[in-house]
Amino acid sequence: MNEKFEHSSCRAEDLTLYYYRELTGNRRRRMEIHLEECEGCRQELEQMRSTLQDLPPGNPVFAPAEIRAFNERVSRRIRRGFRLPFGVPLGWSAVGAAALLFALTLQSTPPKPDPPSPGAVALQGGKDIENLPDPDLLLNMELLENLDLLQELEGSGLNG
Amino acid sequence: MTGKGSCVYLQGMDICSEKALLARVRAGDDSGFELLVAAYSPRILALAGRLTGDREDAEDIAQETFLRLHRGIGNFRGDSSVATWLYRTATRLAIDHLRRRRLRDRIFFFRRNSEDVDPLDSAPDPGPSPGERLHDQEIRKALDRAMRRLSARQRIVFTLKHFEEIPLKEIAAMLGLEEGTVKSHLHRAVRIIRRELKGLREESS
Repeated sequence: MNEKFEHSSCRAEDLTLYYYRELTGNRRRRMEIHLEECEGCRQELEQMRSTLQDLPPGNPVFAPAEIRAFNERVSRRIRRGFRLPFGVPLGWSAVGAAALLFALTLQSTPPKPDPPSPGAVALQGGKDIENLPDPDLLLNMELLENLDLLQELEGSGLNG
Repeated sequence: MTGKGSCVYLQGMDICSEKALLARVRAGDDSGFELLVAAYSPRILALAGRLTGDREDAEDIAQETFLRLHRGIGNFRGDSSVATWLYRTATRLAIDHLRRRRLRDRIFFFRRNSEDVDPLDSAPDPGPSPGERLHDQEIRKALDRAMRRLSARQRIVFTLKHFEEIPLKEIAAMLGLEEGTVKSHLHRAVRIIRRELKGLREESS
């Protein structure tokens, strides 16, 4: 954009609209009179024209063969059981089936927890807690298990 | 639009043929719909291509547009022509798509704002070619870059006005916007595109 234009009080948006023939009536006439008097606006309009008039049509361009392939694809989508024989749209029947499944899942009774084993019952008693293995020992065993797992992974080449 | 007997000719199909085809499709004749697709797909594909700048996205949008027409053809009252309906639907789908794409770009490329350059744009261009072809490619790339910098609405308004030559009043109706808003979008879009192409145009002149 040229300096003369930027420093004047000319209406840039009107110039864009003028270029696209979107100014009508009095506003168009005022712009035409203004353009005769204002060199900055004339230059600006010329620069705008030189940039915009040769813009490439924009990507992508579809070849006739691609358009034919597209048409066939749309036709296939329409013919490929878009509707069921009794006229219910496939989309709605899929939604219905999903809703039915969901309702069945909600209504089915959740699995009851297994009755506690005699050992577990025994553990609930305060005395038997003392019989539990040492917590440090449990931690060490866990570390050893992790180490084994790491070695297995290295052996199989999965560990980096 | 041009007169042709008692029928009005509109973008590749006269209104009489269109009405006859619509009646056939409503009666369950899919071959009639295929004729509609064949008549309008070049323009809808081109429009979606310009709006998105991407071949695959354009085909998806165009396909969804036609499928929606097929699904809703029973309710199509014919207040507007099929062409207008298709344009409006494709444009709205493109706006949604562009907004999702902008959001995705921001998330995946951690761009600070919408003005940042897409990293894909700064990647080296394979296969340099000499002279004018190279210059044309540069202009195309610059235009693509500029279009990606526009907001979804700016891009749509610019495309519909500049490439499709649709009056701003119709664009405003199509997008459900005030005409003044559409004018502002057009002006801002032009400013961004000119800024992006300025260096290249000065080089060529």
